[in-house]
Amino acid sequence: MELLPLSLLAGVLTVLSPCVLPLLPVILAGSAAESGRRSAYLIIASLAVSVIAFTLLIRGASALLGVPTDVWLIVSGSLVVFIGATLAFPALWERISTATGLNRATGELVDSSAKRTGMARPLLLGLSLGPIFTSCSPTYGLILAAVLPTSFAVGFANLLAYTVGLSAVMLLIALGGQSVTRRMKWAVDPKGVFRRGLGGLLIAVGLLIATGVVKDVEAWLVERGILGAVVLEQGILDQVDTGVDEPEPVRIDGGRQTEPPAFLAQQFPGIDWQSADPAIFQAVGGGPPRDGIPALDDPAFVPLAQVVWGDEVQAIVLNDGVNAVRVYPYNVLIWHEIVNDTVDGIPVAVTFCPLCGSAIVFERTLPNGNATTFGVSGGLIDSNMIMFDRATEGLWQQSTGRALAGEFVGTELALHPFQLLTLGDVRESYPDARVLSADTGFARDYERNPYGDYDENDRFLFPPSTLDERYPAKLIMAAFVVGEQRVAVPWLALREAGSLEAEVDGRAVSLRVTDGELVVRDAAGRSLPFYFEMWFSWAVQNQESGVVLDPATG
Amino acid sequence: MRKLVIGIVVVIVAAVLAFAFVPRATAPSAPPVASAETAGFSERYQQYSEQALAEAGPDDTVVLFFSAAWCATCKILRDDIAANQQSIPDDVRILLVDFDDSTELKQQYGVVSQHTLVQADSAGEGIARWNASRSLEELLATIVVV
Repeated sequence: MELLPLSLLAGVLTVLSPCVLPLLPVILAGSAAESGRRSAYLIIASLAVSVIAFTLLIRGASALLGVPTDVWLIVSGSLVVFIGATLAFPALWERISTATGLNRATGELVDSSAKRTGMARPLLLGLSLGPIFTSCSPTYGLILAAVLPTSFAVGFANLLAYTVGLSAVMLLIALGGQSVTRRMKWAVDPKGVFRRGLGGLLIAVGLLIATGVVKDVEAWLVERGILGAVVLEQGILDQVDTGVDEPEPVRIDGGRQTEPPAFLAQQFPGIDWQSADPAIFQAVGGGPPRDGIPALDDPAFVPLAQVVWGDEVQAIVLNDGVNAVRVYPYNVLIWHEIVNDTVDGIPVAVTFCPLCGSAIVFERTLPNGNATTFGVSGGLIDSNMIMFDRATEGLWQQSTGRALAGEFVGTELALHPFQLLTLGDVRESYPDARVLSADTGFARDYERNPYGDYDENDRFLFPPSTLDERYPAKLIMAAFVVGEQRVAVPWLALREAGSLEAEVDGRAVSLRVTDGELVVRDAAGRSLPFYFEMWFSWAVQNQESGVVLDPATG
Repeated sequence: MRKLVIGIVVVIVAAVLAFAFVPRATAPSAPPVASAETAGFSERYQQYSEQALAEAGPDDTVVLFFSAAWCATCKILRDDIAANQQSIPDDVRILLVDFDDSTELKQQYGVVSQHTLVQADSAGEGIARWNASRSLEELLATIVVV
């Protein structure tokens, strides 16, 4: 908060700098031409609103980055020319405001008793200057670069203080201009030469703004060392403890950081980060800490007949052809994300990442031959869950099965075959199946989806680093690997088409869906394991080299 | 008293008008800052162009300086770089980008305000972005280790 008074002072000092050059004549002439203090206040108030709005729009965000600077100059300049024209040719203004009802509407908006004084023009004049106001104040720069990104509220407060300072001086100028007019009876006449002259001045300044000449003039002043109060202000900034840390450079290269995020370093103190895959440094905390989302060990199962959940509920289904079919419904998985189970003697981890729709079954045997169990680390990379193995405390990315940190960096977990079915499918095909029990030992409401309609809407909790727009972000893909090539197929389209024959890197691959169950075979007829994942998440991992097969386009 | 106030305001108006018109007369058509800037250029500090970027060696660090001619703090840094070019390391190239005319580069690197510095590799891939280095020394110290 130490910065607040400085922001206010910086606003005041800005008026001495070349970058407010376009504002001064417009404010001065614009307010001198209006009668009544109310219009001076209105010009300045709308200027302040406009400056804050456009600062946040243009300089605080990247939304309008694609709009060339020239466009803003032309918009502002044209508005100023228009306002000048209404003063230089009062008959024109009367006709416009009568025809459009503009004056009346804004008059009512501001104060119903002020109908006749004409509020539209001052309002428009103030607003017109926002898009081109580019402050050269170092304090303003500091607010934008260092304060706003860390706390919007504090940044906004400082921006407000700065604007108040700027507006206060501008108001003095506006009132000064008006006091002249009021002292000259002849100037009050709307058709008088004085007001027409001010109108002409505004037209001229508007043209200078629209053509960009005004920027050249500022540049000319700056080049000659006329830097206004910038040096003084910088000196103050250096002297005073603003309480604002010099912001670190923002990394824009994604994967090349060299430090793990603090929450991971803290919760996994045993990891040697030097040897870690740099991808782990992009991890963000998803909210719940390590084990905050509890994985299930030794799960209990109940007969399908006892299960009341609806036919539409999706489930990971394990069928080894020998033992009873095991069903892991999403409504339970969504609360636990990992189930450490053993099927026909094989230790498996049934995993589901709600934020990227990835359903994958791994064999939980580490490269050293020991079985481990997996837990939820609480970290996410591009919305994808980072798992940890309890035997070595290594970190593994779920969607790739790859170790990103720990003893086994670079190795991948083996995929275990499974099917993604609905409970309706299961009831038809496997009436004797056993279903993961809601009696998990954890108090969770398995009737409720904690993520709401996340899998159906187009919003993210953690926006992905890249968005491949070939398919809707959350479309579920069936994914597998042929040779070295990672392949994805839109799952519902494939389910509908029933089959797909394709060639990947010169290798034939054949996909069949029967009763909702997928079989992927290579040229030799071997069955390939697969998994499921939302499009955006698969695309982030396989942006450059992945292949998409689409039954619709062949 | 009235005359005094009127007089003051007239002087202010005249000064503003002079600000607006006199430079046009004394500094005609030529780009107002080009000559002053080119004077300080060298191989390690020059105007941005695709060619200038391509000339950077494969292991060089490129720093794009998004500078506006009307930006006073940019001017201070430009002067400092020009005056201390001999202290730019051999593997660093500083390329001056005109903030007002470079919409595409601004979009590419997410530059929202003047006086922004973007560190890139020799292929132009962005590495880091920061604002408002005041001196060449500060700029060089901010370059992140990749």
